[in-house]
Amino acid sequence: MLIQSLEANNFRKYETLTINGLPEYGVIAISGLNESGKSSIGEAIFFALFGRIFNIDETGLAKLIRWGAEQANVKLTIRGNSDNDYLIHRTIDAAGSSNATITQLTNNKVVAQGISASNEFIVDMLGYDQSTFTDSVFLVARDLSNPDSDSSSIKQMAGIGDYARINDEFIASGAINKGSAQQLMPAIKAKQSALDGLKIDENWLPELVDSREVVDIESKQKLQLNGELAEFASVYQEKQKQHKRSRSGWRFFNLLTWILIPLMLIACGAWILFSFFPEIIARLSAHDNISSYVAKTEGFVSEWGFAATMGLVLLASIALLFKWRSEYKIDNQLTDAKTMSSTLEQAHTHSQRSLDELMTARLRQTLQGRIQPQSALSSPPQDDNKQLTKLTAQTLDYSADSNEVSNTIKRLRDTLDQQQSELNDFHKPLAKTISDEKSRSDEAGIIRSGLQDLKQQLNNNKREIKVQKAGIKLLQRASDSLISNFNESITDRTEKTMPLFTENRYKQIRISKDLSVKVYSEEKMDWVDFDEVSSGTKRQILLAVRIAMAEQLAKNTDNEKQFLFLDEPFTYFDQERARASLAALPKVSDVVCQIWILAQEFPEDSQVDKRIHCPDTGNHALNV
Amino acid sequence: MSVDKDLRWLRAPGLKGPAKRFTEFCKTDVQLQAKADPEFDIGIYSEAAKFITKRLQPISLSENAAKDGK
Repeated sequence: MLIQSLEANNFRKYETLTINGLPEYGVIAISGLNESGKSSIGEAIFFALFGRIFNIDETGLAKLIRWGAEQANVKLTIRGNSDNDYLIHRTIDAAGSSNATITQLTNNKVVAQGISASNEFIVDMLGYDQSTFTDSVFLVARDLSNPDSDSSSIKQMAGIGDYARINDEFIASGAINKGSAQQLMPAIKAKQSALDGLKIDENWLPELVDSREVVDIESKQKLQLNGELAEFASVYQEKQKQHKRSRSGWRFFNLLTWILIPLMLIACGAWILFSFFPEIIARLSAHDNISSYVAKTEGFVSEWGFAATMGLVLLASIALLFKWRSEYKIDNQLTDAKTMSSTLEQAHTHSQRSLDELMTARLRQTLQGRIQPQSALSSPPQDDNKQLTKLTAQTLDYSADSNEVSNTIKRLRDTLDQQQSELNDFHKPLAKTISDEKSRSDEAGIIRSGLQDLKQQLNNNKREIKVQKAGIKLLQRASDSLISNFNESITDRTEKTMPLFTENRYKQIRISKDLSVKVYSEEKMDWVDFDEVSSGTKRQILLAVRIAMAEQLAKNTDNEKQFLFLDEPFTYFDQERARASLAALPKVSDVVCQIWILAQEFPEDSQVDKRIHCPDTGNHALNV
Repeated sequence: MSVDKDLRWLRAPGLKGPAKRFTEFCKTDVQLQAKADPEFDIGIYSEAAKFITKRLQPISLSENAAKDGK
C-alpha cells in the first residue's frame, strides 16, 4: 500500500494540511524544527488508516482536533494492489465522536461506511492491524527497540498471526470433547449393564419362532392325515372288492384269449390252404391213407371255412378288448393302492414323531409342566408299528385284510387326534413365550441402539480429540517452519541494509528463534551480543532489522508495494552515515519502495525524491 | 489411497496470505509425516489441516488487538 496524497483540516497543529505529488518510489523527506508538525503528518496518516493514533486510542480522539476548532477531518488517498486507489475520509467532532468512509476511486463507489466497516476493510486490505502497523512500517525512533518475539505483530509478520488463536480453539474444543467423553462413559456403562442384565440370547427368539412354525405345521399335517384316514377303511374295502372283481375278469378273458386265438389261427390256416393252394390239397389227396379225410375236410371248409374264421376273429378280438380293459382297471386300482399305502405310511410316520423331534431341549425345558410325560406325543405308541408296516406293504396290492385295516386305522387316528390336541395345547404358552421374548428383544434393541449412539458419539469425540491433537502439532511444526523461514529472510534482508547504516562495520547478523540478535564485528573479528554494541549502532542495526521486517510483512500479507514511515530514524547517525543511508534506502527493497523520513534537518546534498519542510511556529498551514 | 490424492484440496485456488503459506507448508509436511510415522492417519491430518486453513482465511481486527492488549 502506498500513499498518494494527504489532506487534513484542523488536525493537531494544522489548520490545513495538503500533500500531493508523492513519488511511488523513493524517499520523502519531512524536515522541520521541534513542534513544527512533522509528527502530525504521520499521525494524520495513522488516524486515516486506523481511526486512532499509536498513543491515543478511540476514547481520546478529541485531542486530535486543533485547539480552538470544532471538528477535524483527514482525507488520505492510498493505492492498493492492482493499482486500486481508495480515498479514506475520517472526521472527529468536538465530543470526540468520529466517522469514516472509504471510497474506491476507480469507480467512485463507497466500499465501507462507518467506523467498524472502515476499520475491517482496512485490515482486510492490508492484512494486518494497527498494532502490527506500529511495530513494522510506522517506526518512531524513540520506540525503536528489539522486537518481542512473542508479540502478535511479530507473529503476523512471520505469517503465523492467527496460529495462537487457532491453537487455543483446538485446546478449548479438545477440553470440551474430553469432558463429553467422560460424561458419556457412565451412560455407556449403565446401558451396557442393562443390556447384560437382560441376558438376551440372540438365537432364542428365532428358535422359538421356528419351533412354533414346526408345531403348527405338524399339527396341521396330523389333522389333514386324520381326515384322510377317516374314510380310509371303507374306501379300502370297496377298492379291494373292485380289485378282486377286476382280477377275476382279467383271468377269465385271459383264458378265453388263449383258447380263441389258436382256434382262430387253425381255422384261418385251413381256409387259406383249401382256398388258395389247390395243388397242395391235390398232392395230399394223392396219398391213399388220408385222401378220404381230405375230401371230408375240403367239403366242410368250403361250406363253413370263411364264416368260422371270421367268427373266431371277432370273438378273439372281443376277448382281448375285455382283457385290456381289466388290465387298465387293475393299473388304476394299484395306483390308488399306492396312494393309500403312502397315506398310511405318512400317518404312521407322523404318529411316531415325538416331541423330541419337534422342539429343542431347552424349549421343552421352558414348557416343562405343560408336557404330559406319558402322552401320545411324548411317547408315541409302538404296539402297532409292525402291524402298520405290514399293512402299508399289503395295501399296495390290496392283500391286507380289510377288517385288520379298519381296526388299525382306528387306533392310528386316535393317536393322531390325541397328538394334535396336545400340540394345540402348546400354542398359547409358546405364543406367550415368543411374545415375552420379543418384548425383551425389543427392549434390548432400544438399549443397544442407544448404546450404539453413545459409542458413536464417544468415537466421534475420540476422533475430534485426535484431530485437535494433530492440529496442535501441525500448527507447532508450521509455526517453527515459518518462524525459521522468517528469521532466515529477515537475516538475509538485514544483511543487505545493515552495512549501509553501520559504515560496513557490521555485515552479518544472526537472529535466533526468540529474535535475539548477534552481529559479526569486523573490528573484533567475532560474533558479539547485541547488548555489546554501542547504543547508536544498536539503533542503526535495529533500523535495518525493522525495514527487513516491514518488507517481510508486506510479502506475507500479499502487499505488492509498501510505504515505510520512519520518525527521526537518524537521531544517532552522523551526517555522513545519514547521507549514505538516505541514498541507500530507496534501493534496499523493491517492495518497501515509498519511504517517509522525518528529521529536524537532512544532510546537505542528500538525495531525496520529495522534500517537505514543515512550517515554523505560528504558521498552521502546509500545502505541498 | 495415496497421500497426494487425499490432499488435492491443498492445491485449491483462491487461498491467500497465511492460508496459502500454511497449505504450502502442509504439502511438504504431509509427506514427511507419512514417512516418519507408521501410524500416520491421513484422514485426521487432512481434517486438522482443513480446519486450520479455514480459520486462517479471515483476519479479525479485534482478536489481534486483544492479544497484545492494545
